[in-house]
Amino acid sequence: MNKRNLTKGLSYLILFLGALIMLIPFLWMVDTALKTAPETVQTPPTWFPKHWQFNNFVLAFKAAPFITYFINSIIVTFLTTLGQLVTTILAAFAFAKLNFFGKRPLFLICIGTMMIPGEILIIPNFVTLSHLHLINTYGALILPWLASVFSVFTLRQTFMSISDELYYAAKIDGSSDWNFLWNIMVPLSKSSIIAIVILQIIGSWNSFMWPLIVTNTDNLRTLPVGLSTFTSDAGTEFQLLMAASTIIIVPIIIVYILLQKHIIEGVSKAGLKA
Amino acid sequence: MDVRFEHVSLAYANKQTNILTDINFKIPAGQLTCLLGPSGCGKSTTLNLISGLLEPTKGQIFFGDKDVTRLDALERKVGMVFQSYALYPHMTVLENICFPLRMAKMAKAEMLKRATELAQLVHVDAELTKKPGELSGGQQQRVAIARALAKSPSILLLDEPLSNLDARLRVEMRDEIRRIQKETGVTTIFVTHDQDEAMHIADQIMILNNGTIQQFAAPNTIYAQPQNLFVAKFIGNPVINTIALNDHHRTDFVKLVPKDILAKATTLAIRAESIVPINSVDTLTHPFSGIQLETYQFGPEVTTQIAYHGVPITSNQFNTHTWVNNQHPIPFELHKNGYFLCDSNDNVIWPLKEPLVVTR
Repeated sequence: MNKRNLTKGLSYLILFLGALIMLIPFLWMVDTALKTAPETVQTPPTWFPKHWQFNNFVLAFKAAPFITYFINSIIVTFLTTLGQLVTTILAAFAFAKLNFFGKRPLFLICIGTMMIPGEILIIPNFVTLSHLHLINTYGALILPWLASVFSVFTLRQTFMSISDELYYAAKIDGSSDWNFLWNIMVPLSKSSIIAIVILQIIGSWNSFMWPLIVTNTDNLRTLPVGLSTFTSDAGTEFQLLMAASTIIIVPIIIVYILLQKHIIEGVSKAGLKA
Repeated sequence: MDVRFEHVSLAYANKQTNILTDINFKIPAGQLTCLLGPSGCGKSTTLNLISGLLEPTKGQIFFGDKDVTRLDALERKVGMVFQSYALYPHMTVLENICFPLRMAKMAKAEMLKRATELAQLVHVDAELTKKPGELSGGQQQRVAIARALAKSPSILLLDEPLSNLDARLRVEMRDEIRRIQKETGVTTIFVTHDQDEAMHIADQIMILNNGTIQQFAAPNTIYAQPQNLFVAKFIGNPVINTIALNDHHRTDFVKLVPKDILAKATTLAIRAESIVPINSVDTLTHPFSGIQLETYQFGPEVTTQIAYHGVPITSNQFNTHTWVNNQHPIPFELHKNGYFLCDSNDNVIWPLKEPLVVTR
């Protein structure tokens, strides 16, 4: 074996180990979903179920109105992602290419809010929404997430890397700021935008604390909150919790796989000279 | 359409420094005019004022008889080619050329017809479905010109369009721009810092420095009758020789230049190409002589350094046959229109201005 093969082998080994570390929790989730209740808490734990319990998926699904949760999750994820995308693109454009009074201080204030931990905002946001009589509505689930400073900051950096000459060229070609943004800036920033969308979909789909706090009826709960059905004073039914988790994680994986192609495309395009 | 500036000034927001100070000119319609000057002289700024991307602090800008000072780039109907070409990387060549037409909401069939015609004019009709990234620099440049011409602009502006090209392609594109300008007859304003480029391409050259116009004339006039030392130095290759006059020099010029002018002159500027050898060893009958210092040959070019009253000057008219003993002074003469005398304000005071007919 020569030196190059050795290096290659080593890097594959490292990649394999990394992938394994990432995958084990997933595999453990699926594994647990197929066990019986006693086996989930058995010591020492078993790697593979003794009796495969596919029925767990059916039981889990029947334990709570998951269809409702599923629909709610989709509505909330879709609207927050879409809303956030629009505000992000507009704000990033303004911060990157337009000149207006107070642009710099405003941007610094926005960036400053990134230093505030999300947990601190839970109570003020809750109070605000209750004053607006929005608690236990879709409004409460969606409204606070319609803007993300992190996304604005990320996209602004991408927009700033697009040359000013393109902006002037478009101006001279008769394009308004609005046309320039949607015809030129957005297509050119596709990869960043898709990355932002993926992050937002995952964040929104998985968010637990906020939906738990602002909703108190079944018909508004989202999937992650729904999972708490399996935890009661008497303990947690791990096999059902994991079965349900397996089901709800599928859409995210599908979204990721679908958009992943675009990310790679975006990155390889950015490599060409423009 | 002609372009006229009346008392145009531009200052930065803090009003401390003027980028352009009281600029007045009239660029004639249907010609190719070069704005020429070193970096930071205000030539790109002048172009952006014409395009409408910048607004002047003071003064008025006219296109023809129309005051366009407060109109934006779109309303002025200018076309512009940028240094980086600024093609839209995600669109094909055809889409790029069509973009201004699409923005003007032109009907699709008409738009395609016009775009195809333009592509033919600039010779990129074979590349219509390619993206800019797949084209060479010269082809990108051609597409940029086609896009700028798409909406039949009143004025075509080019901001250092050749500076991203390699030397050979630069010459080719220079001639192409000249051809396209002649074929379309569009008033064209071309910004460059390369005097050679300007001399070859332009009908008129405007030389700028420190935000003021130094001279605005036809290329040959600028070469033959520079207004001041800056222009004389900026135009011509090799760079004109400049000599701070001392009494020895003045004595040499007594028979050539009137006394009062010679008394005012502080600087002598001599073009390298007008210092010519004389096939004679008699230094007395000729006023000019110097000691040959060094000779360099670059291909067909020979440059010779001569110490003229102790000041080294360069000539490119000595060929290798005129090698002489480098201890002995060699005589030379100056072409009549090849030297200039400047006063203490660097204005050329000799030769006196005479009307010069220049044909191109």
